[in-house]
Amino acid sequence: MKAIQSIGFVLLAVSIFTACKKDNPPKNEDFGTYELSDQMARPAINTVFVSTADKDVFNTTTPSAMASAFGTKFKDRLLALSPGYTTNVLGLTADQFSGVLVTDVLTVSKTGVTTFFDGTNVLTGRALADDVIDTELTLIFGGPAGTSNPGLTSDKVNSNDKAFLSSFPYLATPH
Amino acid sequence: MKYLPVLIVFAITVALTPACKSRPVTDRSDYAAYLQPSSSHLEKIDSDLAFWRKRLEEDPGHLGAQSKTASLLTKRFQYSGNINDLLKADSLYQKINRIQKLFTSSVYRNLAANAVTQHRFMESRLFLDSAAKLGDNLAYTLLQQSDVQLELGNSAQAKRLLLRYPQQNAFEVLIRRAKITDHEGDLEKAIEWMEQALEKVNPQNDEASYTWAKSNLADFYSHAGRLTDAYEAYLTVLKLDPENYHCLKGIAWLAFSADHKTAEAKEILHFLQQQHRVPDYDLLLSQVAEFENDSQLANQYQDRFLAAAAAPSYGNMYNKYLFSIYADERNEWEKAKALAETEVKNRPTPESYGLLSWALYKSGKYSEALQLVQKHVENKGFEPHTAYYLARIYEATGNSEKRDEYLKEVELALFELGPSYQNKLKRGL
Repeated sequence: MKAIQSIGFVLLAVSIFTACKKDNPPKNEDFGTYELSDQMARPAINTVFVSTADKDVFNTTTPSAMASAFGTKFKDRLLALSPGYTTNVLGLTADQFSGVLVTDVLTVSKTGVTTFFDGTNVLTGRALADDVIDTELTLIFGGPAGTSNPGLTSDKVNSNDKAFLSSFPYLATPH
Repeated sequence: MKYLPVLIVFAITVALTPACKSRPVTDRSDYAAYLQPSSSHLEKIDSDLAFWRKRLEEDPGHLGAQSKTASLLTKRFQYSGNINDLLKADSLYQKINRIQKLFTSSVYRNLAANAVTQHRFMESRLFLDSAAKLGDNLAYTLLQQSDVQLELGNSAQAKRLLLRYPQQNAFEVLIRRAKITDHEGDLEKAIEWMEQALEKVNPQNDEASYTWAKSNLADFYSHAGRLTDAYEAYLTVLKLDPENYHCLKGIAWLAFSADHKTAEAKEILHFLQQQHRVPDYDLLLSQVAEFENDSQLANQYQDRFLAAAAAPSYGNMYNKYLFSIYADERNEWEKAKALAETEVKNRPTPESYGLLSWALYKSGKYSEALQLVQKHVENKGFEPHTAYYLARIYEATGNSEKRDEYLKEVELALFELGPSYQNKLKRGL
């Protein structure tokens, strides 16, 4: 009898709670679960090196698994874009360079200069004013000295069209 | 015992009273506030457009600015009703897709959506095939492919495509399940799906999805005869978005079809005409005028609708409505037949075949009409006005049993069909 009473109490409690839940306004966490559908790190690398057919898979692959899944495809694309590729200004062979590109993460040095590439430091971070696209083009087309294919090593956009801010959020205001 | 006849009379009176003198569904004071001219959506869109157009003047080839402009023009059409906005968006999308299709399928999806708005379903399917072949964002492509299959009347295929979407309990899936279920004729279940979808979306975070689902739910309620629920849902949307023309039109229809408050319905429709220049409102106004026995005015509205909706820039968007005027009001059966044939070609659904069989019936070709109906319409799930066509075709070919069967379906949907059908039935077809 006691058991039945407590079951009754539990049922009552459950029905009260359900009733309350219904009356409460929904909170954000009530609306579905989140899951990975896109990611991006180095600008333009995913866009250029991943085919549209692979895009959904690449965007949901954790970076640690990218090299084994897409390494060959990155190398093929590199050599298709730049058939005369030997090494680049960093001395990386096609295998080495595509190996760097395929793990699409932004690296940052906690102690060094923050820069995408400043002539000395490479991929130690990314500052707002870094000419990322020119760096990438130079590494793909510029050859061992960085001076080959001069028509292909710059997008000719050398600075932002509006000055960056000196304090947070640092980006220029939209205009 | 001697009171029994009195009791029966009393019971019948009680049973009939609510039907004859039920409380009106609509009340002007609930929605009067939304009949004030305003254009906040349009102003916002236009100021955004001006921003991107300035960009384009400085840099005419700017892909981002072209893409933004195209998407704003697409959105603008919803509020301006100006078909040229949509056509301009299309040509911009075509232009940027020469480059974008190398990197993304998104422009194909935008083109496909605009093609559906313009009832160019076959073309939309081709755009989506191209998007699927590129393969990125396949989940979005699947959703739109499912939509087009439903428009083309293939609900089984629409369902199959939907099942491939990764999250089956997502808002995007639930609203489509609702639409497909409604198409298959199970309105009760469709309502449940749409209610489930609504629970997934927070109006504070995503007002557009919320108001879309809520106003579609309102339409479902109204088709199911739950008129007060429909009315309340329209009002809820208007509270969030006072410029929601679909909901105001829904209320105008309730005022007209359920309450027979023609003055109120006309007030709303005239207001909508000022705000939103699309041909649709003339059609409704002509039905109201007809109900008020002003056939001259009804004709004038029809003329205006015909002149506007038949413009080449609208393509096939208004074929169904043009058809009903030519077939039922103007007795121009050849024109009606040509429109029905175009519809059958664009979208071979039971509904389109229903139009064609009606055109045949109207020109006295009863057995041809019957053949078509039996081959392409019957047992395939269709709209209430098609049931009306079927009833009359069966009557003409001497099958009163089938006639009564379909008339019953028509009666169940009398509110959705409106007072003109209510009159037709009263006159014995």
